[in-house]
Amino acid sequence: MSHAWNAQYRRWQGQSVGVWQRRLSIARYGLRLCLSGKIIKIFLVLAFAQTFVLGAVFFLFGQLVAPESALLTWLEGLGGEQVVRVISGLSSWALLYPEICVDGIYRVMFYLMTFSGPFLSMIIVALFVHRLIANDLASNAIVIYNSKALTRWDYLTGKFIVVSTLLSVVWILPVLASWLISNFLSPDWSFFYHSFPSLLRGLAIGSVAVVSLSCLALLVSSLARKTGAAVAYWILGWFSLSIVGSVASYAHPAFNYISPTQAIYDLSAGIYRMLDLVNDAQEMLPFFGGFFKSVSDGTDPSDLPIGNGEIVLPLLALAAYCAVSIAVVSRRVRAS
Amino acid sequence: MNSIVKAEELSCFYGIVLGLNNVSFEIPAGITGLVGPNGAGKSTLIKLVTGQLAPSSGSLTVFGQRPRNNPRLLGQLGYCPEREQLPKDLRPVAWLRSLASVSGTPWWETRALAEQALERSRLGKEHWKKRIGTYSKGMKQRVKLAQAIMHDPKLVVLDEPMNGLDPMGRSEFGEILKELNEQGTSILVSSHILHELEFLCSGFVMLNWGRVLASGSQIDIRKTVVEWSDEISIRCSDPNHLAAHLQAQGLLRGFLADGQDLTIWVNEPEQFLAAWPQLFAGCACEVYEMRNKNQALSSIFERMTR
Repeated sequence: MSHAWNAQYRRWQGQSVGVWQRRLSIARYGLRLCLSGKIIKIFLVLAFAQTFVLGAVFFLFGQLVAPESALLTWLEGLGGEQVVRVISGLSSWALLYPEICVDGIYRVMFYLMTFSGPFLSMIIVALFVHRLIANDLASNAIVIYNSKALTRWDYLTGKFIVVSTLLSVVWILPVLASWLISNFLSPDWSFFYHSFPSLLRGLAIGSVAVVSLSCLALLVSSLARKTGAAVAYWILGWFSLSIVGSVASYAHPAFNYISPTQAIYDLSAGIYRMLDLVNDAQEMLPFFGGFFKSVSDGTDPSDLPIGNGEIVLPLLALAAYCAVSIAVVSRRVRAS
Repeated sequence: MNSIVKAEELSCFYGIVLGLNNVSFEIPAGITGLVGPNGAGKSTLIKLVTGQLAPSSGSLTVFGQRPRNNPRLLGQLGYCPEREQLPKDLRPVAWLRSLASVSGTPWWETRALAEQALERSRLGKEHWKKRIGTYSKGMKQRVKLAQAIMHDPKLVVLDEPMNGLDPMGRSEFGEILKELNEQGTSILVSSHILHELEFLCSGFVMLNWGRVLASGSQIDIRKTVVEWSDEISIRCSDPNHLAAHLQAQGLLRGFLADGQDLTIWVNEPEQFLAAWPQLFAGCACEVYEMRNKNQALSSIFERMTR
């Protein structure tokens, strides 16, 4: 018996796409699923709004050092010529020591941004973590994925792209976008050169945070058999590790890195090296030297409320989290 | 035999639990039924064929290749799992498109492929706009079948696809599988209800307690029957007339006519089955089907597992 559709049926003869296209298909489908809620979009917009805050600060700084800028004219109208003289005096240091002032303002702002990163990451991941792997495990869709022409590593790469894309909106996009916007609007092309090291620092901490938090999100999502449990595991895990880390740090400071948040904070301090920046500013800029001498006599840097942080230990702690996550997740999603 | 699946001394254990125990068989192209009671090892074998399990010992090849961690081979297979693995919130076309894309189809071609697969699995177009969560069991089975056949696999593996379907649904599902086979796709289908597959499959692998009881074509398996039952079922145009014809020859001990079905109890079953064309000659009645009770695969299987 020949059916009408039988006669119409033609086998697909096209060329199959490569493995990266297949991974991106998983990522695209996962992103669509993760972005299906309204609240997550609100938080992503909030995270991206950091770009405008940073961009505005950098733009205003650029305007302060620009001769005959509209901002100076406005300030003159507001506070008179005396205000303009003070600001011009301060901004002249920026022109004399751009390697301290331009780089410094970018470093300070990017460093401050790292404090909002973990909180926003915690909230945003909590809003989609159950849709990553837990959803596939709970509905057994993983069986169908495993029967397709891709390995579990392809599947995990696709899922990793989903998390890292969303977390990049918190950690990397604001740094990169604000740097680009502010430099295109800056009065001097040398801003590109002097702020570039800060950009690299921002991208470094952002990349480490995105990779480590993505691995942790995949781990938590793969541990939950029920979708609701994944959210609970993520939030409880986040807070409990923070508490355990704080308590354990009394035994040895290194235990502080049990908490990924603390590890990221310390790594951030280690990468931005704020104490070095202050010391350089003290040496080169008379105003800052005087200001910090009022806080500390300058003989002991540990008196200052800032430090250079650690790089190796927090990085090792985050790498350990990543290794454990990859080992566990790959076992959880493997066929049978 | 030009086999597509070949197992040699294949064993698979889940810890100390037996899945398959030292089995060897070959499955040719066509529709092959994988039958056995619950716990016989059907799902284990299907997982081995689709690369979701690794053999504990022995070897299993599909199209001459080992399926475990072999995406290139898996691209030639379609798998329709037993349990429901469908996303409730999605519409079938959206879900199938994502899976087609994962299977290597360029994104811009996935819609046509998904729609074609839904047509081939005979899911009415009026249902395509609905979310999968609102579907009946039969419709969900069709969507699962569509995802398995969408990328034009050479072999489709179906694990208990007719579970929970009503008789009409089972019959239609069987027709779909036959048509797929006519289009050149081999099918390996498991069921613990043998008579469902009897009219569908050209060959069988019969399993029990992790061992292969019999494998091969229906004819080969039927040759193993040595005892014939005296009960024979006949479907014909005029059962009463045929019964009277046979009764007149002194062949029957009794008969029961019901619609087009006639059940007869004969005196010498083996001789009757050997000479039935001559015995029926001269009776103005069309015979559509005749079965000896012992010749039914379900009876053969029952005796094998006894």
